[in-house]
Amino acid sequence: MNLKKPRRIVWPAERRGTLPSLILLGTLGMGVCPLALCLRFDLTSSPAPIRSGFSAISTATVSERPISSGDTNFSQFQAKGSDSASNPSALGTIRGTVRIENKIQPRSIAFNLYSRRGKSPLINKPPVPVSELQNVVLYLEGRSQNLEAASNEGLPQENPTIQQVNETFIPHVLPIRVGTTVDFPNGDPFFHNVFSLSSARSFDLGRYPKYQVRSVTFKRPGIIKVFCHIHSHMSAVILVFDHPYFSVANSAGSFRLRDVPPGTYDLVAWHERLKPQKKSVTIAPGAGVQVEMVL
Amino acid sequence: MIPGRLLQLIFSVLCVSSVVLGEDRLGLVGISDGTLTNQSSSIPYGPSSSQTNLNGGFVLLGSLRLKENLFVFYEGRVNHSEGLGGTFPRLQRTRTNSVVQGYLRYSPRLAWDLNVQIGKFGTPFGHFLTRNYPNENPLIGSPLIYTHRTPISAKGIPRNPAELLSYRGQGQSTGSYVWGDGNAWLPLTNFSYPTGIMAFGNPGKLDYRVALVNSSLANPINLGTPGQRAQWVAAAGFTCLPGLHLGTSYTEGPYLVPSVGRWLPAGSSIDQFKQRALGFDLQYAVDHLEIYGELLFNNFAVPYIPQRLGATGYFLELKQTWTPRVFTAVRWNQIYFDRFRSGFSDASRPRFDYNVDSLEVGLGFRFTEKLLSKFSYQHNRTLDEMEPREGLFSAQLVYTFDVRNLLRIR
Repeated sequence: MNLKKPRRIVWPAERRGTLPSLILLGTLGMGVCPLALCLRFDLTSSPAPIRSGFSAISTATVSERPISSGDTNFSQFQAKGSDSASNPSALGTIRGTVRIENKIQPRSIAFNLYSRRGKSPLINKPPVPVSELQNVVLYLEGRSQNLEAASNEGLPQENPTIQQVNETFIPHVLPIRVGTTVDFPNGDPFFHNVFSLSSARSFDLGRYPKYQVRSVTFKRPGIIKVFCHIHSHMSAVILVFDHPYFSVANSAGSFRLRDVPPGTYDLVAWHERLKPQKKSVTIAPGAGVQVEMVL
Repeated sequence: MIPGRLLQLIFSVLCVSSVVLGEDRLGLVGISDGTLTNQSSSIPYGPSSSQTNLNGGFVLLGSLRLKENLFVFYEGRVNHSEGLGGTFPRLQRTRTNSVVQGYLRYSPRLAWDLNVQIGKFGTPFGHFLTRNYPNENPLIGSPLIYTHRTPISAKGIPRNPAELLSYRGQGQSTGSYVWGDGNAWLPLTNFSYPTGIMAFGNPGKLDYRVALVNSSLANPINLGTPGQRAQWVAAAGFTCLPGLHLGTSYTEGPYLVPSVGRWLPAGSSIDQFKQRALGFDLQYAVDHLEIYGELLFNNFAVPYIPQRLGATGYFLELKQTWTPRVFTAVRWNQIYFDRFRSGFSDASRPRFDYNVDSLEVGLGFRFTEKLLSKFSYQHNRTLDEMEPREGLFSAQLVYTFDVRNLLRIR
């Protein structure tokens, strides 16, 4: 199953000429009802109607709870194979390393022009260096029916988390399966406001203080870009797959996809600021494969 | 006064150096907006008028890390306004290009929080200045205490209270005092970006800001060379609960420009005629609700007026986010002006300006995290005998972006 890219606003052919006109009219503020604009945008940007009004927010905030001590250590996702596979000994493993050879566009440093009024300490300090290799996701793309068969398998028992610490989302990249609920604990002594406007899942968790956790369930595959309304330099990416065959590289670039059913697949290395790379891999029953990927 | 062109040049050189070095030292954010405003004014039983204007703006915010504790900050603004038509002859095009802020900040690693900055920066008084960007302000207009012009001018002085009264309610008209060379009618507070030095910090639940600057809160005009008319601005705040912040600010200093010195009463100088302002501010946010407010007690000492002219103004603003894309906001403003205590009969002790109030309501819609549209209606009322009213419909499109990403700077 292919990972869907964030859907761009696609206007039906008969309306394409109206986009600039609508923007102009919107700017002119004459004759355009903002609510009609909202409706039109949502209908055209998402095949499924986006929940409107309170429901969109309340769905996202339904599971609110205090942070437990266990939340402070997030577990990095590794692909987990099928427990229900008919013949576990026939499953294979893909191991490998990924290297980044292309230059990655550096992130802009976060800055505050004004002294903060009690919101949080200044963050005008160098960012903590994180290996960009840890932001590389490796996943399988299907030519095999095995990927689709795996789509109904069990979800992780514990919710993965994206923490907000020192005005940073940790981890920056989180791959999950469809149906997974992600917790967003606030670890900073001030408010955060996590939100996303991605077509695969839009939500706004509102402002909440330290020690509080709010959660979102992701029901459709796609790429979800996550931001904070209060701290515009904060961002994270959630990749939602409809199969369990994905992994995040470690700081050395090593990765492993376990319990992969035999077959031929495309292995994709993905980084948010680089062009994804594909490599065809064939898994023989019970065998392992070594792969090198270069971004 | 630091020349704007010099600041622009310095920042450009630093940016280019940073890009050439290829290090993560630079942050550049652009905010562009287009705003269309239709303004209609009316007086009961009198003529009404309307005017439509288009305004385009661009703000560039930049920061460059020179060393671990040393930063350069920059803010430049370009504005272009054009009258599209209306009852009166078409307005002339206006274009401004200015360096709003440019300063150096040093943040030593101390046990208690201290930062020092020197250059041209936003006044530490109040808090709306920090949200005076189209992507931060949930409405399109600004609070009345920042925009309403009083009959007090920085460039001219009245001969007596009666002359001052003749300019009530005409703050933005073309008239001027007999003594003076302009009509720089002053608001109570302004979007003030003086030149000076500031120390600030945020130890625990407290925050403080102390600045020595060279221009008054109301008068955006630089009053001379730095240090010539230095004045203090002090502000402090307390975060009572997560999301609830209460603050207070005080400033005092001369506001008249040096050119009016020759018309002053014998033996006096412009340093004796000061603006004093005491402000309180409130910020509260929880879930999808945000509340902001400011209360301002302000007075001016005006030559040939035997009392200090005081005014009290406030605004209260609420913003509610309904869905990830849609929010609404409302802002209520009022300003009350003092009455003359002498010089008029007891029965008709007039206020030195008419009381005013204003209500603005707005709706915002986010297309993406970078593209925002806003629509607002503002109703302004002047409480004099005729009660002239003004209504403004506005629509605004705002695009915020990381300049380095847009230009593919690596």
